[in-house]
Amino acid sequence: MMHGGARALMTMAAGLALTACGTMRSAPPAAPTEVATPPPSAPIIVVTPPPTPPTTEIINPPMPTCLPEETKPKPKPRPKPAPVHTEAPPQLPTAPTVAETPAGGIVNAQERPMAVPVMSILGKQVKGPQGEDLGRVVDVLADASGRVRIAVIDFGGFMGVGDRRIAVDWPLLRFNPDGADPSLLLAVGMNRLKSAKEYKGSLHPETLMEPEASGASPAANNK
Amino acid sequence: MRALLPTTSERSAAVPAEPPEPAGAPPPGHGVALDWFNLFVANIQTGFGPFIAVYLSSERWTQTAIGLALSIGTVSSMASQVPAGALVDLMPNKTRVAAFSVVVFTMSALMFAIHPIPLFVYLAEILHGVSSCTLGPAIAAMSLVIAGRFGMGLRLGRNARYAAIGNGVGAALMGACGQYVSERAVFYLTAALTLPALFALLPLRHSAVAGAALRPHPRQQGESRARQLRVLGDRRLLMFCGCGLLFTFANAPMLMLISGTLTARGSNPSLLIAACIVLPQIIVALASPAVGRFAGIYGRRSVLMVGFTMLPLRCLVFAFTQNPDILVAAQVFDGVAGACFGILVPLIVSDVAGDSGHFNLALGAVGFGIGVGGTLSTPAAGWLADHFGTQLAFLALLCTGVLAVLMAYLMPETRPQPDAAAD
Repeated sequence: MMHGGARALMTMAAGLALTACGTMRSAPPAAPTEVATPPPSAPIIVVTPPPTPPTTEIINPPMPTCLPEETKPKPKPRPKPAPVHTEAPPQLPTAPTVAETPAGGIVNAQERPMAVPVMSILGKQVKGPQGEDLGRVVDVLADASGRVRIAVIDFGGFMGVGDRRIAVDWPLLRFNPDGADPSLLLAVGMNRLKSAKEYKGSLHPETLMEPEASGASPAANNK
Repeated sequence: MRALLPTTSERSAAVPAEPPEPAGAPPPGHGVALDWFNLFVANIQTGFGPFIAVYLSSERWTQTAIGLALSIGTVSSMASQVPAGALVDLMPNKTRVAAFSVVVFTMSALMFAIHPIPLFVYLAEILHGVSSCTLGPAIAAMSLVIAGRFGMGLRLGRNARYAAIGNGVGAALMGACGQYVSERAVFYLTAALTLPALFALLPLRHSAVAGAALRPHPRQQGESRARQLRVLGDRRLLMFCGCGLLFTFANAPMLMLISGTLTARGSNPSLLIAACIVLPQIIVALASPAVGRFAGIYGRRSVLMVGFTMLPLRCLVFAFTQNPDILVAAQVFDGVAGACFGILVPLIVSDVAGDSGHFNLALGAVGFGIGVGGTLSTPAAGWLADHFGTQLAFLALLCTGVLAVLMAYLMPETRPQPDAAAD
């Protein structure tokens, strides 16, 4: 559905818009209900504005499209919107991320401020539900479409001895880029984390994710 | 002379073994200075351990870049073991070498702390790797100067004791620093700790100058090279190299292999792992003086075999229990093994090459063998554990450990004769 724009610029704009929309995952309380809605509308509408306004203005057009449907666009770094709505498979498919490359092979890239606040992920401390230190993000893994699927968290150990890496499903993380102290929350208890298999760089790593049964709503994320 | 040594006394007491060798026996204060120096150096080295990986990930380094930085450190220290040993042989004043190495540590720690960009980190890794290779032999050489060949066992026992105290205290200090202040602060602390280390060296600055016996004989180039080769080709030295390689190969990955179990089954993984690190240090601190004495009484080989035997025992425990408390307790074996091995490496080398003028070269060669064992084993054991399970990995390490014991059994005794006669 979102591969629409043959022209590079349009696609880029769509991507931008999606990024903005895709963020609500981070605001766990509000987000739940409208899950599948954004993608359809977003890209199409957005396509138009980008070429014209060079900078700040652009931000506004896309955001409205998203905002009404979800709550406020919260954090979430650059990765794609898709993982958020993992529950609605039909929407996710294609990679919204990748700008279609024009004939020349070069996208006519422009600089604009990112529409939503973003935060650095690598090296960020991950806090648990009770504010306990669960470790640190040391790697971020994407699938073939460029969607970020897994955060690799390094935890445990003492002074670098005996720590282990654990793959955590991206949607289990909550991002809060606002404020002085951007933080990452993981809605998983220490005890579950301790017994998780170590991540060893496999193509299909054992990953901590939500239980399958409760898959349908983001609300499940909040357990 | 033996009687007064191995006391459990603290730093203030204990005169270093009065060597039968005349050679201007240095005043007792020097032993104490060396104690403190060992302690602070061990402190410093804690900061350069695996913690670097933690620090760099907190600085948003990718895993690949961290791996590269650590490999650069490993390679530069491996590559400089033997040349650094030969270099230290050529320096008449070992104290100066030690001081210089420590100053390089300061620079290296500051590079990590102030500006951890790849260029500085790689450079710091190289500097640290190389200067570790000059510092180790320099400490051993100072010990040899201070204690003499016949007092060496006791002296090394004390070295090991204070190094263990330094390791334990350093781990606690830096762990707390990383936890409550910041990862970066650990490296400032490391840099700061180099100052007391230098200060501890002051009393030694003029006296720990190697006598003629410790220096390569002033001969023409070709002859010296042949002599070097003769030292390096010594059968005892080669066998000991093999022992060290096998032992380290089996020993190095143990903690990595149990950490998964500790994490999954213990209530506080970090604390358990800290215990696994500190407990052996306590044992080393307690046991080292006795080990040094036993090496003089019962011979190097028997002490080496006892120490090496601890390793298969530990493998057995690790292979057949999952109880975190027992796993931690089994680290006592590691302490005993560590005390024996840590003391016997410089001791056996001093037996073999102490008066050849190529003591440090030989020490570098043994260090190289040990380094090879340590470098190869972690990936190998990790691979075994991934493909065949942790238990099988422990059993494989157990076999390697048994091989090390066998090799120690086959090794000729190296204790110098006059000392043996004194039993």
